[in-house]
Amino acid sequence: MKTILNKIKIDKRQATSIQLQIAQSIKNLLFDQQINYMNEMPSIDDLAIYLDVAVADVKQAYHRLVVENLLHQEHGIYYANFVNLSSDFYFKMTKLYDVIKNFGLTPTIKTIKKRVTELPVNLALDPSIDPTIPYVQLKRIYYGNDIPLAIMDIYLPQESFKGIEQMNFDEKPLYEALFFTYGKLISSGRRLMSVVNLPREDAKILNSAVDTASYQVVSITFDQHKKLIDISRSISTMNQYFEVDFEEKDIQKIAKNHFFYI
Amino acid sequence: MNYIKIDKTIKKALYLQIRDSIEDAIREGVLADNDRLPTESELCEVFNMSDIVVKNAYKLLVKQGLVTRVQGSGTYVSTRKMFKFPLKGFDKIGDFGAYTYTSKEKRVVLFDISKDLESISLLLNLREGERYYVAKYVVLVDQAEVLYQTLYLPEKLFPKLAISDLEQSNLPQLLTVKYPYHMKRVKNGFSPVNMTSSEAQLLNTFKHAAAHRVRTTIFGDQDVVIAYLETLFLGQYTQFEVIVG
Repeated sequence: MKTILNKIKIDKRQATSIQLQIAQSIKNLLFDQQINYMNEMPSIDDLAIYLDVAVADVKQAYHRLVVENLLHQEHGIYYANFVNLSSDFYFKMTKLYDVIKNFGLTPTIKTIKKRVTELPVNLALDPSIDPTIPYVQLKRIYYGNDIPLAIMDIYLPQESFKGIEQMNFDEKPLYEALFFTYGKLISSGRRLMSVVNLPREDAKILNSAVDTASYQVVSITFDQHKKLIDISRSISTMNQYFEVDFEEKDIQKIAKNHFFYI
Repeated sequence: MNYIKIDKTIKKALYLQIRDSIEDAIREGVLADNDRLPTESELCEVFNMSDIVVKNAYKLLVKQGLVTRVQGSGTYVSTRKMFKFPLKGFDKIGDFGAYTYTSKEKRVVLFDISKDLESISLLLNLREGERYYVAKYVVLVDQAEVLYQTLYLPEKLFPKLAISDLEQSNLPQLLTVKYPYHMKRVKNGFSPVNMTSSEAQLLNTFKHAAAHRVRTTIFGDQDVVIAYLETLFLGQYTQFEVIVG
C-alpha cells in the first residue's frame, strides 16, 4: 500500500482541481497496471496527509472513481477494480475459479440456489439446446479474498447429470466435479458478451452500485463428444479491459459486411 | 394507457391481459421503442387491481425482452434489434453479415480541427503543435441509433479533409481510396462504461445506460497510426461472440 501512496502525484500549481488531479493520477496508475486488480488503496486520511490536501478532496476523488467503477469499496476499504485481461481469457476455456486464482487472490465459491427448473427462453441460444427438458440450476457466488466478484447461473441438462441435485460440491469448482463424477471434459463452446446495467438484486450481492455497467457473459460448453455440458450466465462488476487485433483479411470482411465502418 | 384493455368478466388472468395488450400495442406500432409505460400505481388505480398483478405482467414483458426497467425512472418499451459481432474466427461464425437491415445512415454531428487533448496527440503519435481532425457521428441502422463514434485523424496525413468526405464515404473508403493508405492492422480495446447523459441522448437511450466502449487504433504501412476511433455500442443490444476450443 505504501508503494501505491508514493506513486500518486499532483501538482498544486496547476489550475485543474485537486480532486480531479488525484482521480486522474490513480486512473493512469490503473491503466498502466502499476496498481493491480484488488490492490488495497491508501485510506482517505493517509492519502490526504501524504499529499497535504483536504480530506474532502480525496473523498471526492475516490467517489468519482467508484462511480466510474474503477474502485470498489468494501467495509470502508477501497480496492482497485480494473483488470487488463489478455484476450486469451475470452478465446480459451478459462474457468472463473482459475481466473480469480491468477489475480493472486484466494477463490471461494458459495452456492445459494439449487433446483430443477426450465431453461430461461433467452438462454436457448443454440438449435442443439432443447429448452423443454428439465435443467438443474445452480446459482453461485464467486469470491476473491472473501469479496464477491461474480454471480453465475448454471443450467445443466438433468438427463446428462443424473443425481447431481443431491450431490454436494457447493464450494468446489464445477467443471472439476463434472469431470471426476461424470467423465465429462469441456472441449468446446461459445461465448456471448454483452454489457448490462447491474440489476438491484445482483448489486446487493456484489456490493456494488445499482446500474453499474457490468459484463454479462453467456457461455455454452460441450464435452469431448460434442454433447451439451451447460449453459451459464455470469455477471461481474470487474472492470475488464481486453484487446483484440484484426489483421488485413478480417478488416476487409468487416469493411464489406458491416456498419461498424460506415 | 388507452392501449390496455382489461375484461374482468372473463377467465383469462389479469396479468396476461395486460401483457397481451402491451404486446399488441408494440406489434401494431401504437407503442414505439423507448416509449414509457404507465407506472404500477397508475395501472392499479385505473384498473382497480393489486400491484402484484402489474408486477407479474411487467416481469413477463422484461423476460420476453419487450421492455426494460430503468431503476428510479420507469419501464420503457425496447424493441431495438440485437446485433452480434464475432471477435475471432470470422470464417467459423457463419452468420456474420447475415443479419439483414434495409438502411444505414451516418449522421455527423461535429467536425473540427484541434490539438487540445494530449491523450489523443499521444495516441496519434503527433509532435507538439500538430493538429488532428475530430468527427463525431451517430450511426443509425433501420432508423434506430446503434453506434456513437468519435474519429480522430492526424491533419498532416489527411490534407484538405472536408466534412463531405466523411459523409460521402465510409471509413475504409476514406482511408484507402480517397487517401493512399492501407489498413494493415486494427487494434480494438474493450471495456464496459455507463453512458453520460449527452451520450445517452445521442443514442436515444436512458442516462447511465450500459455500453461497450471500443477503442480502435488503425495502423497503416510501417505500423504508422493513421486513425483512432472510439465507439460506444449500446450494451444491451450488442453481443460480441467468440467460438472457443
